Amino acid sequence: MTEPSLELRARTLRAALSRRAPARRAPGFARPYAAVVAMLDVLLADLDEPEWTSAAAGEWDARDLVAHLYASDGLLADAIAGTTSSAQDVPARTAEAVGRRLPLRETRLEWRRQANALCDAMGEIDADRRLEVGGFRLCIGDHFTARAFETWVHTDDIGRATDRDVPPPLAEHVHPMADLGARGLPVALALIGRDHPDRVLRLILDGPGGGQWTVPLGTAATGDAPDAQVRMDVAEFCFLAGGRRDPETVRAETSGDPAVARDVLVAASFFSGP
Amino acid sequence: MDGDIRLRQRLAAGDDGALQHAYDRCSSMVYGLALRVTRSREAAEEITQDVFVYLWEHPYNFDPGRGSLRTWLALLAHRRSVDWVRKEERQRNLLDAVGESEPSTLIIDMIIAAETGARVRDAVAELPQRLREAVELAYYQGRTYRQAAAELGLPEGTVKSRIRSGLRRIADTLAEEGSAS
Repeated sequence: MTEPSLELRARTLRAALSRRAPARRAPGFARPYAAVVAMLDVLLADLDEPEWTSAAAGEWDARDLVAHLYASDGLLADAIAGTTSSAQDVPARTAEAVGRRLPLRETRLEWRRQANALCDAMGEIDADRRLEVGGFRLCIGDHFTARAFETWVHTDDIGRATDRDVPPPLAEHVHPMADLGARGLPVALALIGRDHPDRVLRLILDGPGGGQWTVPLGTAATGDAPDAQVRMDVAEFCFLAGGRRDPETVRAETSGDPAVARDVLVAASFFSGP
Repeated sequence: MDGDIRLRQRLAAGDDGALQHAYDRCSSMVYGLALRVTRSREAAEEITQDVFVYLWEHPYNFDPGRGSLRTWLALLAHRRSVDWVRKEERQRNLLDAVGESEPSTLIIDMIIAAETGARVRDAVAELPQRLREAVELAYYQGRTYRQAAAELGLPEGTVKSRIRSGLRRIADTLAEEGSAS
């Protein structure tokens, strides 16, 4: 017999899933988060000790980054559950989590456990409910997209630092992240004091998960005719938004009102954390 | 190519449907290759399982830029199959030298089972010179006892009995360590 048996198929799949659990099942809005959590988890499972403790983003090593993700995820978990288990802002909560210096394995397991619990709790949640988390008031769906995005950025940080070629998330998971970034631009412009309330931006993001957005930059903007256009790769836009690219040097084609285009690139990274 | 890039993303993202897809597409090739090299259905099944579990646990190690998923899985399967054959050869050579009686097969199983550690190597190093050279030829270099006898310029019977006593001592050392730890 030269064909593998059906029994072998079942046995192989069982063995694989018992060694690495699949991504947590979650409703659509939380699926990008569940997927990126699986991407980071399988990367962490492969790291040896020196890789865990070599710098991955600034001064931070993989252990600090995972503790930071645990802290930020915890804020969202608290807000959804309506509890306050500890500090309610990201820096304080991160300092607390990083300061505990848990063993490496435990750092990963604790983060993963909380991430799984977050996904599990989403079954009967209204994704449109608005919540304030870490100073930002967004609907739960957008909060999840933001968590997926930050988890991706740090997965990429750790992959780069440890010489592993980490691909971007799936196109259908990148798209909501890019969309959140695009929608956030008017607020970001206002917060950095460079608002253009009467202008309309056309944002074209190329590559898997990209798309086209027409963004009125304020309430005074009328019509759909864009005053400025920014065109760039969707992954570059995401890395810019994640604070991993310099607005001055990031690869982007701009046209129309140059001040709007320039300010949009600066504003894009406004929401990025460490 | 494009399909492999996305498949790798899905595997990384923990999508078990992607693993099933990879299995259904490539398991015949992996199993067939392992079967041709090992000529053992049991070994081919073990290798097939191993290869797909490895893919699921190490999606980042597959680089679609360097070749297709099929090629990468074939490489993994081939490497494992050749390792299996080498191990079998060693085992067969030893059996040939010491005979297939119950205690000697037990000793060989024990040594083969412990081989992943440095323990066998340490035990071999502790053997007296005359036993060590016979065991090294038969075990690490895969010689039959006849070849070893020719190389050492000794009668076949002598080499056979040296391999046999060498293995017995290694087994004793392993057993002592086993009971000590």
